[in-house]
Amino acid sequence: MTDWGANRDLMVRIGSFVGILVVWQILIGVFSVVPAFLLPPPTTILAALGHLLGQSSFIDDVRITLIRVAIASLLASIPGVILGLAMGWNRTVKALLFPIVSATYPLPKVALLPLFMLVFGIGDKAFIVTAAIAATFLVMFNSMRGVADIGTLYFEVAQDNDVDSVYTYFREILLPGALPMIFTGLRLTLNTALLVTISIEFVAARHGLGAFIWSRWNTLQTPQMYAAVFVVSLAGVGITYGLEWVADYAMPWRTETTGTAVQ
Amino acid sequence: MSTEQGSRWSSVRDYLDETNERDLALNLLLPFVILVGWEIGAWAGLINTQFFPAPSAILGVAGQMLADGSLVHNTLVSLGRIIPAFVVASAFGIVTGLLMGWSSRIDTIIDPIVSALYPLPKVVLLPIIFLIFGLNDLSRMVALGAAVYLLVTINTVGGARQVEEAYLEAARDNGASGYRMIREVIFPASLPHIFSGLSLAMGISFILIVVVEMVAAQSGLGYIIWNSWNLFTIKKMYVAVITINVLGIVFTYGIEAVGSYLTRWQERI
Repeated sequence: MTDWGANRDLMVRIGSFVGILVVWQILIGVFSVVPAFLLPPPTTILAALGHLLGQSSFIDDVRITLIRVAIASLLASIPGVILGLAMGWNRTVKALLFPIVSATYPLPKVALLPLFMLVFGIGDKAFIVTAAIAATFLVMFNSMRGVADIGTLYFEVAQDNDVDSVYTYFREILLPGALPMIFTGLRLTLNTALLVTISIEFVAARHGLGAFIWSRWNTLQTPQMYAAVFVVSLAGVGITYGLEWVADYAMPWRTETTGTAVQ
Repeated sequence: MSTEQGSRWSSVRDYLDETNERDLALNLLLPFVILVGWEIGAWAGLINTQFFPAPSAILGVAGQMLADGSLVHNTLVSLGRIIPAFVVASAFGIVTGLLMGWSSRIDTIIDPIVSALYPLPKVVLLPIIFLIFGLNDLSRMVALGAAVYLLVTINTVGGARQVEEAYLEAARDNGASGYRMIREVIFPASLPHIFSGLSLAMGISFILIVVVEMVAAQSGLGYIIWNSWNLFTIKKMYVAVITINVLGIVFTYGIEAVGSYLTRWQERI
């Protein structure tokens, strides 16, 4: 597709998006097709958002959620990448771990939250551990599959050069070779951490964006609820495109992206 | 917009293909060590049985819950929420996605809405749906259905857009249009993507049903977990968690297995 074509495509997309906002505004703001307290028009939500951004308690809620997501992602990613690479590389490690990992993967980890709240008490420790466990699977699976993409030549060269340190294999072959898949996994992991953190905040937390949304639903302050939902989706977009940007920077040789964040 | 290809099930199946007897011992080693260590630790007082009751004690409670019917009843309640919502929403999602792939006009209209909702963590649909529909069994199912619909639509259209132009032209030259074009060309070619959408949607359904039943229902497996937390009947909690895990294995891998059977003409990814 030529630049002109790509530009035109983008224009059409932006145009229809703006069109939807305008139609939404008119249908509800002018004709009240749906009661405005159920679905306020975009300008009302925007005004609520502007108001919220001036409140330090809302900024705190955003910060609390982002910190939980960040710590959970970190706790999920480091063991996830290491165990995933090890499973992809070594048959014995895979035989040990893969069955148990595959068997527990379909459990929605938010079901473990009450158990962790009993063990750790109701608080950040329980929330973050639950989100981290939920998030670790995707980066683990993707790192494992990434190793399969590495040509056997690299391993042969390493053997010919008498590399016997496991660390060197990880550092020089497994990690760089599997990097494209690792980034796919990281993106899924961060998005899962966000999803599960918001769920946990709905259910059990007193602070954070999820708790804010849930309380605004209960008190029927709908413009504020939608404004916070908008902030959550911005975080989702930020994770997806932010990691895409980091991946381009870390892997200039890479030409196309694989996989996508679906939550 | 690309979609995630290759399922967890395909890794499991490939693993089952490549595994041998020596591996089998290793496969069973870790679960065996964990269960036996847990059981012995619990009896020897090395593990806090308040939080980690012995597996045999959990099994005993599972037997009781089976006998008094509560386990079966609440499992059926949860499934009764997931399955109708999933079936209806994914049918609508597949149709929407195929229509978007078939007609660029429909695509232009719907795509911005779908793209805008796409990065949304699907769980935020819960309060929105509850706000609009109130809190009842229908709204619980609508909330699940909304998430399923979005995921299946996105993945289906991702598949429909990747149909090779040559197939479309060949079909057009032979007089196919409209319904036949979708049924005979676009739909089968999109099947791998449709099934990755279905499997993702099934995973999200399980997360949502647990969250919904924990905070906004008086029955179902998620409710058992939440109620056990409140009443500190922790063995019941384990039974519910394990039941959900087993259902998750059956449904998630089940859908993926059906998908890879139906698309067996495709190269293994």
